[in-house]
Amino acid sequence: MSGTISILAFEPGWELHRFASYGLDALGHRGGSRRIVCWRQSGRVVCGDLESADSQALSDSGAVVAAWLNGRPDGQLVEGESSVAVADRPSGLLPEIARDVERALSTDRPHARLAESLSSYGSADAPSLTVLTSRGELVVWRSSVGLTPLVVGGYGFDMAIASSETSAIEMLDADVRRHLLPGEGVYASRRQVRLFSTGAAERARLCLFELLYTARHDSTVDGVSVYEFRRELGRRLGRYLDDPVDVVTGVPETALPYAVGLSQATGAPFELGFVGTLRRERSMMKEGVRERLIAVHLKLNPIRRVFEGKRVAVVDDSMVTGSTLKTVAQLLRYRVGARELHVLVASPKLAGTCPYGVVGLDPGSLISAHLDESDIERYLDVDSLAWLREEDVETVARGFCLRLCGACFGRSLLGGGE
Amino acid sequence: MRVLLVGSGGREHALAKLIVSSRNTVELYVLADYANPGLRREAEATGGRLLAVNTSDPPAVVKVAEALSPDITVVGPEEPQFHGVTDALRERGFAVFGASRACSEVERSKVFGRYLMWKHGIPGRLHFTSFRSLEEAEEFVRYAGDVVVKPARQFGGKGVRVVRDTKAFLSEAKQRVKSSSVLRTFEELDALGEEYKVLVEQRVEGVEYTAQVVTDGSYVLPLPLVQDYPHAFELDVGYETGGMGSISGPGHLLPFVNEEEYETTERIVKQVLEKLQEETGDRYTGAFAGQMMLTGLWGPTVIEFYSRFGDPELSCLVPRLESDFLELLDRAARGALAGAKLEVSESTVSIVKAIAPVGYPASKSEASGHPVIVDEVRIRELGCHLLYASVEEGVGGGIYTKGSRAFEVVCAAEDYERAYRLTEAAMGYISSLDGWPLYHRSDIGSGWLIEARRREAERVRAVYRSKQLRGTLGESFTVWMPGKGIVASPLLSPLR
Ligand SMILES: Nc1ncnc2c1ncn2[C@@H]1O[C@H](COP(=O)(O)OP(=O)(O)OP(=O)(O)O)[C@@H](O)[C@H]1O
Repeated sequence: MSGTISILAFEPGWELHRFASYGLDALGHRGGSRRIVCWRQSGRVVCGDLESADSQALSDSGAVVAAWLNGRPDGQLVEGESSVAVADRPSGLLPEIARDVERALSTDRPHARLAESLSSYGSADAPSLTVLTSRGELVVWRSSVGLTPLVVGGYGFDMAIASSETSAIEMLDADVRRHLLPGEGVYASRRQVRLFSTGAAERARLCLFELLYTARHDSTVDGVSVYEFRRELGRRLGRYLDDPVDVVTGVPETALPYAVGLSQATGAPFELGFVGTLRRERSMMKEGVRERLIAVHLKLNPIRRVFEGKRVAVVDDSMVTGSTLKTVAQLLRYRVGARELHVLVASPKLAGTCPYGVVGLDPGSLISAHLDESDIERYLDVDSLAWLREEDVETVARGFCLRLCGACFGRSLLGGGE
Repeated sequence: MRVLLVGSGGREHALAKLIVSSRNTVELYVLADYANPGLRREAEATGGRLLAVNTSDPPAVVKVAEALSPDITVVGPEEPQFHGVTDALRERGFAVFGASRACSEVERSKVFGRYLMWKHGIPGRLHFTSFRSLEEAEEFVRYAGDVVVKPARQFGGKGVRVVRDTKAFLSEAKQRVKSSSVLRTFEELDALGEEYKVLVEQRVEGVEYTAQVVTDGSYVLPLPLVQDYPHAFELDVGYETGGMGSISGPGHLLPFVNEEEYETTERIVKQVLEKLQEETGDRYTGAFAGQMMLTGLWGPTVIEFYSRFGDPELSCLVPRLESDFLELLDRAARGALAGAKLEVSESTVSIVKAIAPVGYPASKSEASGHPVIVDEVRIRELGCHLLYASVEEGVGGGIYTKGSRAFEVVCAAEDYERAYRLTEAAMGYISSLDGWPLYHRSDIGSGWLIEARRREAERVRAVYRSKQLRGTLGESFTVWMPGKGIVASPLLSPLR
């Protein structure tokens, strides 16, 4: 998964490398694996690592784009003649869209032309975009399908900032101004800022994984508090916990709000269960099995007294390969001595890969697509195991007025269909 | 009644429209710095004329007044007040609507208005400090923290830097920006020969609105509240401008300011007017306004004062004022405002949008000299008003931009949704003839932006109410210094 932060300064003298750097830090949890930053230098747009970039050049640029990419930049980064385009996900369409955008921007009514040329990608599977031009223009566009979020903020009279997440804008001491709707974009230069829209696609929706896993708890996505959404799903999990438990905990960090919700719904106390070592890593986003396990092992040292001799409910946001929950179960049962282990997953069973390439799921390793429930329960070695059902996500999504894409869960639309 | 209106822009066009709609038969003369075609036409339609003079030159204005002997002279902008035009006219015995030079100091000097508030303990005041010397100012901002840096005098609606500084990891970068902005401001004001050059003020956040009043010095008649939009660009980003639009209603309130806040605001404005007159020993006759912000610190808080009507704030009231406005101005000018009432359409709200050439406000030269055309008939058919602002008639009768906001459009309707659609439609009838792009803010008056303001107001309302209950309104910046105890505002002393 990836994330972007782009900044345009209306006034000179802003040390943009600092803002880019902290902006990227604020998006580090999104699980991108490669950081890049693009800026203007000698009449061109150049991209590179933040560490080796010349900080003076970044400030002089007046506008920068910084991003976490999925890995190899193919299909996510296009360096054109007078601009650079970054997409929210790998897409074969990117080179063509980037060319069209470049052309639109060379006219005298750039925002109007942009809207026109981007509208032709309304029905196609176009990614969302962030573009920086050698003239110092910045364009962000949320694709007509939506899927990943894009927000625009401002800092005083001095800067406009666009990002994948509200928390990145807040971390830069700026204010969130608008959650772009699917199809909405902003054209910004030092002389003009224009909101435009190519219209939302009929099947416009937000990726469920964004709310489930990718975004920070402290972000607001399309006007919905990520924390509240997670806690609400956690409350729904209460229906699937048949046995009494002494304590509810969640796999850190993502699953904590779900555990809070479950605790509130059942009355069983919520406890912190684990302490991590080193910095926070997103285990699911690691590419190899071994890397994933390393990340899991690093973040999960149990607080023994919370679990010893207890009946424990453990919540996680999703089950991909099952290896995290397997690790947790083994730890709690054998190392710590929990009496009972009930695992609750705050999303439905994953059924396949992401057709949009937003979430990098390997269909071969999705445990719930290959084993039945009782086998998974045996593999995890737990007393009970439950998933949320699609209907639950549907209900919660409706409650928040959201239309969600659940393609990887086998449901292309969850919630607010008119 | 013969009326002489001094001033050249959109606000004066709004004034002209309000004046000519009087019950009285009006003969309107306009004294303007440039040939604003809208003002010229308003004047000519009444049998009057537009006369081009330097409106900030008292002898020149007096000379015209003497030739015309108007029944009332209305001075729109602040610059003529600063230069003593109102006083010169009054000395010659003319009835004048407009603050005297001494009274207009409340707008001209940002130090004076704040000093008044502190001296008399008027609620809604912010901590500030001002500097004569560059060294002191530079040293101060090194430690100042979360502040706004401003020119110490009115500077044509520019030069303000709001530097929110609440994240230590970005503080150094911000400190450098503050320093360079202090230096720039200092040089600009030094060139004007001002005593105080730089003002540094506590930063606050919340929802802004403007409270305008008409006064004859003893009686104060409030106008409906208006919200003005200072950012140049959509989504409230980009440069500070004189205002890219405004909204007013329903009634005398705004969707995010309640009656109690309105009353508090009125009390603040009245107190300031009273103390201002005490301090200057001069009678305040004219328009006065508090540019306010609803903040968590105080609730209604003063950001700035105007010694005139706001622009484009007044424009917003053009379709909503039902009383005879000229009569009000006249009664104020004659010191007979007591008992006057203002009737405002209760069933409508209004939206103003300004349209400007690209280049405004950062590059006036780029934004100047573009021929523009307006389909006024279509705008009128929509029921909207068109106000001419920074445009002038060129040779051959063409209309050319002068670098600032070129036109304003005002539309009223029974709700914001309808008024919004009307203003957006009306904007479509204004274009340039040379292909130079014009821009306006499509977000002003939209449902989502009003909703965002409403939520922001609710956020700060919860904060100030809790401070009110605890009796700590206005208190901030309290720091415990070991050995010294609790110090209020260790950085910003109000009077130096
Ligand atoms: N103390 C403050 N805290 C936060 N924002 C502020 C503060 N002071 C000013 N601002 C912001 O800066 C804008 C302009 O400030 P101010 O009114 O002082 O400047 P000005 O140059 O006199 O403008 P104008 O003449 O158009 O009113 C305000 O509308 C407000 O948005």
